Amino acid sequence: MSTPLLEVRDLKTHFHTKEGIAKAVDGISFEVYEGASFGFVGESGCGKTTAALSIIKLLPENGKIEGGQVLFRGEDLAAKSDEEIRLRRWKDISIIFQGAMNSLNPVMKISKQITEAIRLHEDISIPESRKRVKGLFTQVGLNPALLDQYPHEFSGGMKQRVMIALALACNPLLVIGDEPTTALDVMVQAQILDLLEDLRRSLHLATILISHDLSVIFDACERLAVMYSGKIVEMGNSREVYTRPAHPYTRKLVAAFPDLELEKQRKTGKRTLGKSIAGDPPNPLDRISGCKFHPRCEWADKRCSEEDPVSMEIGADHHVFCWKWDKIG
Amino acid sequence: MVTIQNLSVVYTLKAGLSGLFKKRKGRTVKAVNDLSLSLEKGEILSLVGESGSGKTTTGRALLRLIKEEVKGTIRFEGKDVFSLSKQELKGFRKKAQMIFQDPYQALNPRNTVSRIVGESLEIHHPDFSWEKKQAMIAEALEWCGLKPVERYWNRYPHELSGGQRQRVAIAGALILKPQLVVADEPVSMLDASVRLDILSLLNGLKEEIGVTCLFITHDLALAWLISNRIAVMFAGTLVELGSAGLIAEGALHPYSKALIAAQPSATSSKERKRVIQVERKEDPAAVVFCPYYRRCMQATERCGKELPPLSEINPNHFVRCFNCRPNS
Repeated sequence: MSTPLLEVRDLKTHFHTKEGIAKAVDGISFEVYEGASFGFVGESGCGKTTAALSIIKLLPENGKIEGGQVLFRGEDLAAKSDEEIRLRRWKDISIIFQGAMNSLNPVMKISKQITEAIRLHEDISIPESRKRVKGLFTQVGLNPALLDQYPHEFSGGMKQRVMIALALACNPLLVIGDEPTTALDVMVQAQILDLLEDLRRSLHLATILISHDLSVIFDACERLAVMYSGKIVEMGNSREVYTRPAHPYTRKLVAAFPDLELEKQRKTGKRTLGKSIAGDPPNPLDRISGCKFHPRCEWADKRCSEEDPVSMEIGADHHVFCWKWDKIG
Repeated sequence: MVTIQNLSVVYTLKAGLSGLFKKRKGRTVKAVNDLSLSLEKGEILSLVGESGSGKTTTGRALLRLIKEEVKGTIRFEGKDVFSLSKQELKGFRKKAQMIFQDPYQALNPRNTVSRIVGESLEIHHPDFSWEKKQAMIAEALEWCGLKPVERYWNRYPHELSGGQRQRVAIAGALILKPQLVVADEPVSMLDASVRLDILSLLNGLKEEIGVTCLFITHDLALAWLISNRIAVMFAGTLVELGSAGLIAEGALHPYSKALIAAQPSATSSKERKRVIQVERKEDPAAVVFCPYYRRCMQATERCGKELPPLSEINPNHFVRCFNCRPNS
């Protein structure tokens, strides 16, 4: 952990819909260090994907960055034009999309799809780019003999490996993985997570993983941010957040994952079915004053409903956005 | 209550265009292979395995929801499910219900909640008065935590959240007070915060109405949390069976161990136990062999030539492996 590779300051991304403005990302700040792994976790609709896509301005038509800075090696990407970003996109920052199964062109050979991406960004010959793809295939654990096959001949895990190869094609410094293992089987998920970890170490890559699965993020990321309704509610070192979750939302989320519970309760031999979080996740169109979580929080008081909580440092690399964190037993 | 004996289900794949010309027969896939299992009254038994291990096929066979030819017998309250008469089958359908994985697809988008939940009443109890039906629908909705009932009565599925939809699906399955419920990955499509609600709902119903439940999941930790016993399947074969605590903490079969190691872990990421993938080709002359032979780290020569029996290694703990020793 030295200099931040990516520094996001007070990022705001809003969607303009017929029903009004949805503040999908509402003022978040975080940094990702060179060669380090960072994770975003939260339930559907909390803004984690929007936060990551804003970094490379890959937003839908109605989405717009309304404020804040995205500093990549000191340069503000948020202020650049779409064309400038497009040129930078795959070379500096690449992305592994959600649902990799459907992100490949079914009527194009795998080799063609990857060489095309390389040749868009770099001026190299076809044989040279093929050679690079062969190397990429070996790197992600695929047999280079399968280079000229079509996507339907690959299994889900293999397609995901192709997507990772594609993301690595132009030697990026930062790779964003949007739910990279969600549609995969448990066994394949473990293999893909291992592969990402290996690549991160050997290529000195920085990674941002996005997942709804807290146990995946705890497992795969050194640092993480828990998001709720467009805001970061807790952020810091994974191990630290796991052992001492401070925000009421994080605490309840941890209890909702049986694999995390199994780890904890294995020692005690107890088996208790925890309680889920009362109430519904807020609609992004709703305006909630103060802490966004206060309507569902049993510890909330008047201050929580009026004032936005500020970042409080409660440990080494551990920040929480809650007024009452130290009052909760 | 339910006894499955030597169940085998074989799917025949369509031969495709080339098969049409070459008069080739379609390949066959053994989805379930010689599976024996019994469910006690009022217990939740989890079937765990990776995709393609035959867990859903087993669940569907149990409810006679597959068209393929089935070998072996499934007895429900002493009667063979596959040789029921038409009349008896109707009675069986009343007592055995299924909860599907995807609540977004399982509900008819053009029907209101009350109609979806009351649908099976129309089929099985057309003679009931409307007042009685209404009371039963309201009761089922309340069981499933959809309170106050009036708020949901005339809603359409698209107006509900994922968790609420799954509750509606469960209410529809439970309105006739079935004795057996097959729940096929009922929470895998739901957000974490609602997942626990649905699980405690199932758990509560087990205790209140005494439903017997076959819970199908790929998540061993989830199975551990909810069930009395866990059965681990691999490639259509039952490889390990025992109480939930026993399997979660002291699994013996190499595949069950690999499943546990594959679970994401918050504490051991630095020295992660790798899920080591061995690729081994079986002897082409061998007719039977351990289904896990190809991927097993502990396999010996014998595993490639014989199918290990499902043997009781510890009391009430069954493992299909030559190389497993009892817990001391």
